[in-house]
Amino acid sequence: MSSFNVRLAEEKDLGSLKEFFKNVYGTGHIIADPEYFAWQYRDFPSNPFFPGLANLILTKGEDIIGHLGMIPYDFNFSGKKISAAFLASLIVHSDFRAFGGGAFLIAEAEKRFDICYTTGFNAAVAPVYKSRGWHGGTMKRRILKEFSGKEIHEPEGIMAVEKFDSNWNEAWERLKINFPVVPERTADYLNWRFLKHPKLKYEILGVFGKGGRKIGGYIVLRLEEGAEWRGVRIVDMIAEENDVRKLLESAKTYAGKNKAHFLDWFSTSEKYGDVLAEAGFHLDTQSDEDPPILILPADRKLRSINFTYKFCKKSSGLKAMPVDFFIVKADGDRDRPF
Amino acid sequence: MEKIKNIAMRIFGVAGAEVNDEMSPKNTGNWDSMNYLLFIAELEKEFGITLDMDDVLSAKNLGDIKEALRVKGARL
Repeated sequence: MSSFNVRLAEEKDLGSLKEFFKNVYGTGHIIADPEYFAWQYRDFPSNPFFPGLANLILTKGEDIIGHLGMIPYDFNFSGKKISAAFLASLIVHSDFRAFGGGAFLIAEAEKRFDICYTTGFNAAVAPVYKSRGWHGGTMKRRILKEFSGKEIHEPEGIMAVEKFDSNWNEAWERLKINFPVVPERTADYLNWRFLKHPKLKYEILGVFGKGGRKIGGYIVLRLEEGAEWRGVRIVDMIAEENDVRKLLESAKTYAGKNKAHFLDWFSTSEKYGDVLAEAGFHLDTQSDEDPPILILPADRKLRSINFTYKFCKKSSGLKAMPVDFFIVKADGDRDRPF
Repeated sequence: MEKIKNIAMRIFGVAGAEVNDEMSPKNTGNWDSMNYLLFIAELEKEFGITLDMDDVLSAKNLGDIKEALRVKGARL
């Protein structure tokens, strides 16, 4: 009998892993793209396995029969730095799914971090997380559809961000007190996540003080153009509420200039809820009147983005409710190129 | 076998007559990964043994699980 094993993937496994992805996902899935794979699972600034890969594989003898990606984050947990991983692309060969193959991969990931979490997982995987005692929540979506035709104006102090630097780190140290459980938004992380992305070009706007040197907050926008819908997704936003107002005005301007049908924002947290409402955003009614969540291509089957997490290291004694987390579309792999 | 049958009936929601060595995900609607792992956990507790990853993943049906339990010294 061939033995089963769960271990970290190594560079030498990449060929077999690519073949495995082709078999389970079909051709053309983004995870099989070597440049994207290396960016997401090796070159992450807080990758504790670097220069190794943050991927677990389930093997039977020499064959790969399962995969789990761990996108490693440093988390701010009420002022304390802890380790976290967004679990992505959990997939097990169909012969082993009903026998808990995924659970062994998740169990191995749980040994390595304080918090493991994921969003947008499919129904087939839900029982596996549940069997491991994970807690559930959702990412709420807020949408704005009526901005076209309005007068376009840029608020003062808003400029494109070309690079996050030490000025941003200072601002983040001040701002993060407002976010109880949040992936650390250091300059290194933001530069990797948005400016070094191998496939996507984001519009990154910052709110700056007089003289334009000190950044106080930012918004990251992604224009998605599908056959039926053109939308601007706010994939990340960190600022004081007054600055959020300005940033949202700029987002509306950007959406208007690009003739978008909608602007939307996903978050596990209620943070900015009032400011977004003031700016005209409404909670997704999940009716056909609202644009679908997926527009590349348009698909109405997905009606909400789920969220689940677990505090893994029992000795740490950490506790939090789902709404304490500030997880947005850019945290994890929910903002893939396709 | 009575202990295994009772656990299987409770976890998978099947009648006693449906619990046999051929029982597997192919013929048992409620056999998903979560119920299977709950089933394994209940068996381990009942018989005071621990099944390893090879036992759990290489099983194809209830007969294989019973065999793994016997090898580990469980008195079925």
